[in-house]
Amino acid sequence: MESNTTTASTPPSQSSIPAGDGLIHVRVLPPSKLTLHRLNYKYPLKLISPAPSQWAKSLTVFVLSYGGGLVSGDEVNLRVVVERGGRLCLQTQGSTKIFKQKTPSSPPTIQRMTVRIQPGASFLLLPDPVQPFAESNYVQHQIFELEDTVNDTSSIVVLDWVTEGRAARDEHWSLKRFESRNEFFGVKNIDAVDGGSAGGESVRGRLLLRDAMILDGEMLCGDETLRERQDSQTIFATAVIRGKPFTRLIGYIKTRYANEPRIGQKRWDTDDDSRRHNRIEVEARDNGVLWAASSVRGFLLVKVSGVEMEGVKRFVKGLLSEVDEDGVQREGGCIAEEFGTGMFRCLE
Amino acid sequence: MEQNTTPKNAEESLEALKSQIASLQSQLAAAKAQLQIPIPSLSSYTPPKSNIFNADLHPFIRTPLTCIYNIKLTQKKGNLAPSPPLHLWLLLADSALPIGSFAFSSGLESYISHRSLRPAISPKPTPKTELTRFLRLSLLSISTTTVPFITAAFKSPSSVLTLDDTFDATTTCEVARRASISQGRALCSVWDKSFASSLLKIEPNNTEIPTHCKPDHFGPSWGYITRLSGLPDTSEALEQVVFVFLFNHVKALLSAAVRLSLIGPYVAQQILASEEVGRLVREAVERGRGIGVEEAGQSVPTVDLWQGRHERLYTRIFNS
Repeated sequence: MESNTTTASTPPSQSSIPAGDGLIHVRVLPPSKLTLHRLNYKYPLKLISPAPSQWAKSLTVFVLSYGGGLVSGDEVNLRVVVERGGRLCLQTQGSTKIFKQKTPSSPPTIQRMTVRIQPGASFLLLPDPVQPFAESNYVQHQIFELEDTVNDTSSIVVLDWVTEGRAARDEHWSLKRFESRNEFFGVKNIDAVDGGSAGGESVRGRLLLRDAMILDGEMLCGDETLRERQDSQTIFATAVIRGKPFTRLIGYIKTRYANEPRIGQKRWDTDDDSRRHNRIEVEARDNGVLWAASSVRGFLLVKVSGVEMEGVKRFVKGLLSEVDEDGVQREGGCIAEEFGTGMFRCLE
Repeated sequence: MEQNTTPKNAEESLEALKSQIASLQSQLAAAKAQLQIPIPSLSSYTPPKSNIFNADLHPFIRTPLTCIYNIKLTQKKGNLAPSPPLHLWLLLADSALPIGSFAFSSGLESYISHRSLRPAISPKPTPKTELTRFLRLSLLSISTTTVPFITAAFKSPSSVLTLDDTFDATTTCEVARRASISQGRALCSVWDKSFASSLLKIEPNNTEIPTHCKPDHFGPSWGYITRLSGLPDTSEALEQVVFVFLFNHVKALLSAAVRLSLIGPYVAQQILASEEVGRLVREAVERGRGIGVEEAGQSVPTVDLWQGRHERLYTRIFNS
């Protein structure tokens, strides 16, 4: 209701939904007008959708929490539907701060999101990192249901990242527990007669990919604490990409990974027989950025870690915006072409 | 895996062994007597016909596998769980088992090569401390990623193919996937070509446990074939299944470390025999089997990065 969307949304009464619940439903009206068919939410979740300009290629919704963070016991349940031809980008404004668990028996902080992406729809999730404070206990579970995995027109770019906490207060992975799961499912039709109309006849199908990370601050490994196990890395990021519109982006990332400087006995930057390393590669290495890309079951999965936040941000932004060898953004990169400009706010 | 440190413990353990032996022998006799009668269910595991369970067997052989269970077994006198199928374990823990584990270092090679990119620690770690650190991290990681699937495949062998598919979806590191698939398929074919004819203890028409599945990944196939070999669905049996898997993993890492010249063969055996490794493996068994497949996940994110970057090494001797 508070949202300043320009579209004719038909939200149910706000009071009827449970605390922390939210729904975003993107629909394309003829001829090709992107609308927020539904947008509703309840405290502690807040959704803001800036009115799209007329020529906007996508809708953007900001996912916020009141006070800029979530406390123990907060539970957010966001459902997202992107209908045929829809383009939705979810962003945040600043890192998601996870406050400490009140008492050892208090419930954890939970964020769940289920996203349904119809054929020909694209979804971009580029939030700021999650920042778990000391003694926090956080569970994040994100489910993405891709309706078209045959022609790969249900497209996604998802970024999920976590930092060590408030370094200024000497928090370095001092969290109690952090769990993040990203699951990608296919969809199967129960009622095959009405092949994929907007209704709910299709249910979650086969698990296509699951990326799960569990950090347990209370567990010792030998005598190593979680902080020591992290090898001075202060940030871990995972990006998952799939879909026809991002074919070029996927190719670009694979090529860059294939061209990564080799690690070996010789000094990598003075290796005579390897090729000359360009600026972005040298910069990433100097910033302590480590990364790996793998093609798994139709997805491209990129893992990045680094010793400092800014280096990783710059690196991820460079990767997603397909920068050239000198670090200049490509005109008309895949993400800009699909969603428009201004998508990289969280990476600035 | 120390035997026992204090005389009192040694005595207790000796007692335990004796009672275990006595009861195993009576079981063996009972089983032999039953040999003509078809065995109705899994719970009556038939030990191999050889007298491998004979008490005169070299004591060392039973040490690594049975020492953990002594206490439990003594508590359960009279109601003893089926005997540890030593024959099966000797086969599966054999370094000559042709599944090619020697070709994989599970990220160790990459970890060592990235040494210069990791933060400097003082005092400067020796190759041995680097190796033992990696060993700990690797066991932690594998206990929250692979062990849940071994456990699940063992407990519900009928859903092994679904589990295998889920494991495939969950293992996102390309290098780790290749390593797991290569060893898993090899294990299945060793089972098929060499072991099944004598070790398969499940009737072909058993409706609960299909005998002809071919899972791809190492973890699920390990849980599956050990179940096919007639181990009962008990906590003790499962502990052994996971213990041997993880102990094999440690052996493979140590063997890789020797070939990477991090340590010599004597030190490798010293580490393998150490109390610490025994404890780490037992901890990993305990941790891992308490995790459901839906809760499995990577607990050491750097391991995925080191292992994923294995392909980027200038030179490499291992496949992972």
